[in-house]
Amino acid sequence: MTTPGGDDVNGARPPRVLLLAMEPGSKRERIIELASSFLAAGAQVDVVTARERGWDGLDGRARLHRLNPIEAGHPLPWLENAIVVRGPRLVVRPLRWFGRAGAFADRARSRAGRVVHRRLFMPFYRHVRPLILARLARRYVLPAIDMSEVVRVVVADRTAVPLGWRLARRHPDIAVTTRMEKDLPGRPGLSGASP
Amino acid sequence: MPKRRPRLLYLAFYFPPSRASGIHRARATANRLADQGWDVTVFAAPLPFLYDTIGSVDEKLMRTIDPRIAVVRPELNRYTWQTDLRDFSGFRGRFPHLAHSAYLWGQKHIFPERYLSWARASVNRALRMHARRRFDVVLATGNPFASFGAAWLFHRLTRTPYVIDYRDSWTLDQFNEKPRFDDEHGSWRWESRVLKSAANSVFVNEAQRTWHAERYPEVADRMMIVMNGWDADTLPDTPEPPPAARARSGERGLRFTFIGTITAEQPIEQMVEGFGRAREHPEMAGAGLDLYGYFGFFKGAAGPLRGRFGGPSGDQDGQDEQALAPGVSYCGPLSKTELADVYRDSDVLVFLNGGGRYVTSGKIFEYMAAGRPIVSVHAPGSAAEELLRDYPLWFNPGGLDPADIASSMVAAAKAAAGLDQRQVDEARAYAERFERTVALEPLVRRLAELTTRKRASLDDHARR
Repeated sequence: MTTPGGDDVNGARPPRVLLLAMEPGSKRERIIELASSFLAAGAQVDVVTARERGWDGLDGRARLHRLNPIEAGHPLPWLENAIVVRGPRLVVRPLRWFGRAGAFADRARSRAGRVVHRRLFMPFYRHVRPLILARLARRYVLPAIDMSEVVRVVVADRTAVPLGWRLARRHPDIAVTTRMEKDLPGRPGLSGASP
Repeated sequence: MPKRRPRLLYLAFYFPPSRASGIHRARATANRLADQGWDVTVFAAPLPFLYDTIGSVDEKLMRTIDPRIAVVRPELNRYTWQTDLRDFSGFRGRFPHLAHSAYLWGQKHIFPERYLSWARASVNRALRMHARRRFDVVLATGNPFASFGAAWLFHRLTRTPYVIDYRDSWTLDQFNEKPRFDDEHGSWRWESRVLKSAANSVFVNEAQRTWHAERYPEVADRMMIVMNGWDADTLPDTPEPPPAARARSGERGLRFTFIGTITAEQPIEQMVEGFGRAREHPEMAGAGLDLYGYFGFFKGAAGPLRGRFGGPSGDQDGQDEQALAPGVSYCGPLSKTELADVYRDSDVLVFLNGGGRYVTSGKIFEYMAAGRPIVSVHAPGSAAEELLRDYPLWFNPGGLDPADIASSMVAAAKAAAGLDQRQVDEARAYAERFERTVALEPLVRRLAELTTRKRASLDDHARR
């Protein structure tokens, strides 16, 4: 028998499943359910996400890796914030001491910053972000995961694709899929696991 | 100088070894034209798509294709079907949002169907082949309807006439009998464009033709009906009476048979309950209902469909894989070559059908040709009723009430036990008009006319 997180009676490590859910959106509940079913089947589960909230329902035995705090410190969003928000604020804020005209300038600065962020930066960052998250996960999350134990990687959303795609190329023996199936390949004892 | 054979480009995505809905029409059409001396080139789905992506193949069907037919398989971008990340391209693997935006842009601005890449590849291949030796006419069958778009574009580029064959309807949801898309959807614009330029459009029944004629009155005079049919190579020339009529009384339980693909649209529960009630009748003691065919058209459909029979699901160890419900057995898929034996050993045929007035199941023609009593299990108003009305061995419960279905089954069983050769011959005689070569004749004639006209126009042009 396999106990979650521990060795089985033969001393073999239980299989591990990696759930990549960077921006899970409406799929979050399914991810949580999937994690529970894998855990119930005796597997170890790691969830990698870039979303801070919404994971209260995740089984406590699953390891949750949040990338969003690390992402906030990444040079690209940090630089954008510095150029679009913090820098102009530093220049314009003091103008408020000059009355209505200064307040107007500050509001205009704030509005312009939002427009630049939404209309210019985000459309660009949307396409770069999956690559950044993949890089951050490789640097800060994957070293803590023994990939020799991983039997399946489930990619739950498009933002998680670059990380999953890279794992698929580097580990040809691991199933890397977008299908949210509950079976574990090559593990007969765990096949057809159900919650 | 010997006259060049007429050359047809047949855009039939689902073609053997595919076992998808309606492939028998494409198979029979290509075979018939090849048999009539046409030089037929079929553009079909790539094999990795059929085997790996949808897992919907019947390799035995390949043996039924005339060897003179050239089958070409243009590439298909399997973007929406890919689930294994190893299949993703480098671009999609690195920039998934950009790849998705590009895919959606193609759907919105080029052609609103995920088979678009196959259509584009088909046109490219067709142009290259046409440059070497020209096609006289194009026949496109849908679904997928990207084949219609490909025929239209090829016509625009080469002026080659084309005929579109609505094996299924495109903008009409034939099961719900409502438009499939909202008014703004690009399919409407494409359908209008394709119909206007087509030499002819072909429908499988009058209801479908009428629906389209009302929406596109300007091309209604070019709309034709080419019904499905049964293939003479799959059934004996003279069917014999059913086993119940040949055997001594009580020697063998009555065999009810369903042959075809079991789909979610069919009234499975009503059929099972009706058959269960029919078995309570003393004359139905030991009767069994055998189901031949596949569960659904794609892999993964079997579990939910089996579950609707109310018996064991068949996916757990130790279960009888065959038993679906009391007296109801699943006998697996059949090849065309095995059909004759199954029909011969059947007493009554159960016509389980999910569609309404727009759906004529292709199987009903074969059922009639088998010369067996047929029990209808479908909602009233099915397009098949028009065909069955004059069939002498039709038993129609008039609806989906299990009690009525049971009564019809019992009546059909009694009729089967009393059938003689004359009655079976009468049933077959009625079905002869639906034999495939007869059914296809108007289409073959029309394609020949278009070829003649096209060649005359080219000759005229050359003389000038």
